Amino acid sequence: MTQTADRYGKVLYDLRVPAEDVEQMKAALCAAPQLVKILNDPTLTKEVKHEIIETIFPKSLHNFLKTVSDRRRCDQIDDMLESYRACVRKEKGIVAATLYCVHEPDENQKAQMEQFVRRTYGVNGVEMTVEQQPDLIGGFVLRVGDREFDWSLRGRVRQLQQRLIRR
Amino acid sequence: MSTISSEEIISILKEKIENYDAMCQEQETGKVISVGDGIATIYGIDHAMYGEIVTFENGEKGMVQDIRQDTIGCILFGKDTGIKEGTRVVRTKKKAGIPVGEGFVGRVINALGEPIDGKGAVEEDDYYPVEREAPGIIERKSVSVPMETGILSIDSMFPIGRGQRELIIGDRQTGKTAIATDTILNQKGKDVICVYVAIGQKASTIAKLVNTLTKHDAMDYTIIVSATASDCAPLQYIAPYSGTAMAEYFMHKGKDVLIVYDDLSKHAVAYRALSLLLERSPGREAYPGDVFYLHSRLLERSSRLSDEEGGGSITALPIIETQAGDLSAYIPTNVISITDGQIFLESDLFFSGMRPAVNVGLSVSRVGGAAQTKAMKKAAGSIRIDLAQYREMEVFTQFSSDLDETTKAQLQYGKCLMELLKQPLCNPLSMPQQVITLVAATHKVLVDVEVSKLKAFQMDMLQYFADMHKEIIDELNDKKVLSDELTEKIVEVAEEFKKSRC
Repeated sequence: MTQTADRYGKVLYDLRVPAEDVEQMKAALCAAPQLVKILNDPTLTKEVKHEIIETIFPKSLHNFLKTVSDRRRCDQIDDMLESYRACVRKEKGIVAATLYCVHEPDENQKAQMEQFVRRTYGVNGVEMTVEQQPDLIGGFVLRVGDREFDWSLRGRVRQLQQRLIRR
Repeated sequence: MSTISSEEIISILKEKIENYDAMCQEQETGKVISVGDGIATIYGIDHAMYGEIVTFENGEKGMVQDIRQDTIGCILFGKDTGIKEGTRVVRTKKKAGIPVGEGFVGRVINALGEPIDGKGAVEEDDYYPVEREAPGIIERKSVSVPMETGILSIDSMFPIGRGQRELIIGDRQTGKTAIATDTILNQKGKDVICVYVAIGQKASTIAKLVNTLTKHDAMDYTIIVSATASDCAPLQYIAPYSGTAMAEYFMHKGKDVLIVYDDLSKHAVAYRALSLLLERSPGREAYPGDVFYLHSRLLERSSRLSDEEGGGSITALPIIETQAGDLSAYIPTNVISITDGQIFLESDLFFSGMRPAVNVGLSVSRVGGAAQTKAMKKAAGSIRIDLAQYREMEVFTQFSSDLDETTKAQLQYGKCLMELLKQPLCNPLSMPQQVITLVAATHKVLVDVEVSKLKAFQMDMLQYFADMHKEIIDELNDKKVLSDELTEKIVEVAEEFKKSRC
């Protein structure tokens, strides 16, 4: 993420735009990826772009998106949203975690993992994403930010390998 | 090594695997964005420290050298072939360090402390960080014990003390390394540990050096840290720091250590390559702005510790190669100003047969005088001035042939001194031998000996002293003082020897 995207994301958060509107914008951008291209197109005039923004996006986001398109930063909208979400999470006191596993964990396991993250990081909640990764062979890897908790077979094999070949 | 059978290997592996206790690893990880020229740029590992070691998925190690807003620049201690975009990187939370211990004495190791002489693993006693802060003012003591090089011209005119940093500077092929090797050879039996750090040298040169040292039994107290020209720039960059860490281990144990950095100009070049690849802005001669700090923090770690700290010392002999005698280039001026003196070697002198080719006028030792033994100080007395006068007068001889008697005598004396200062390789002289030579020379005993035969005469005379008048050598060794009576006695014996020869 670039510093610019980070700043725009923070501004978006500071604007106190309703969360549904942001979700709606995200959905619109996902549904029509060519939108970003159009908004970034230097051959189109500002007025045309402003019109597009006004017709498609919710009212509370108009000024923000107009500024973004005027400065031609539309290609960084994804990063801006990422930074926005980080701000929201920080306010709520929760962290994002990704669970890489071979088999989908059951509710009980999931709850335990969430509790582990809550305890380790001293947070109120966890935003858990589960991603299946068959090449882990077995077990799971829990990732919070840059920190990784490796309890997978692949990790253990790698550890063993390191220990055997280390001089 | 080849005697281990496959069954044994398998049983060792089995045992390792059976005893292997898997742990849940909590790690901070990142991913490689780009890699090239021995530099990897990494995304993630936000909390990595400057100088921290990181490990790559394939076991390769790197050191954090550049921390930016969202990327980390790493130098790699090995080949970058196994590292791709997306390769996983893990923090170790450890600063770069090397294993140290008594077991390393007599070994050849690389910059990471791994033995490369094929003599098997080394038992380590401790783990020392490669970068360590230099001892402070309180921990230090002034230099007072001589570090004898065994080279007459250096010990008499530019004495080196234990804990001093004396630069050896000169063009290529002027005998810089030879002075360092002779000094190492002369430390035999003096309870000094020697560390020779080879930076950017040819592997063949290092092999030759190891041979020389082994032949003279000097490997028993020497460690060689080698980063050859084929090693990557990061290894060449940390080699002198590793060598110093090794030396510090012995210094902290109260021992005296001699460390030779051969040579720091190549070290600066390796650092320049790294810095430019890390996109640091180039300055004079394309060196980065902190190239002075690069050497000052290294050489500042050489010191003489106070008695409370154990009283150990590190004496540094950094070597710098100049281009066509240019002392005012960037690196030479830097290192000259950091060190406590320099020995300047000149190619003209070298080719005129004056070996070691020490330029008496430009060489200096700033603190060694305090460490010189009284006997040597008294014996050496005025030879520096005498030599200066001789050089001045030598110019006149080219113009006129008929000179008065005093000038002729002075010229003859100067010639004799110059001849005595010549010394063959691997032939260090002990302190008494040097004192006897100097006393005989300054009392004009040797003036009327034919110059071409002077060197042989000197050696025979020293042998005569050792055989017939051992009491003189013993007295010099014990008291380290040159009394007037002793001077008289030496002159007397020298005259006696001269008579017996003629």
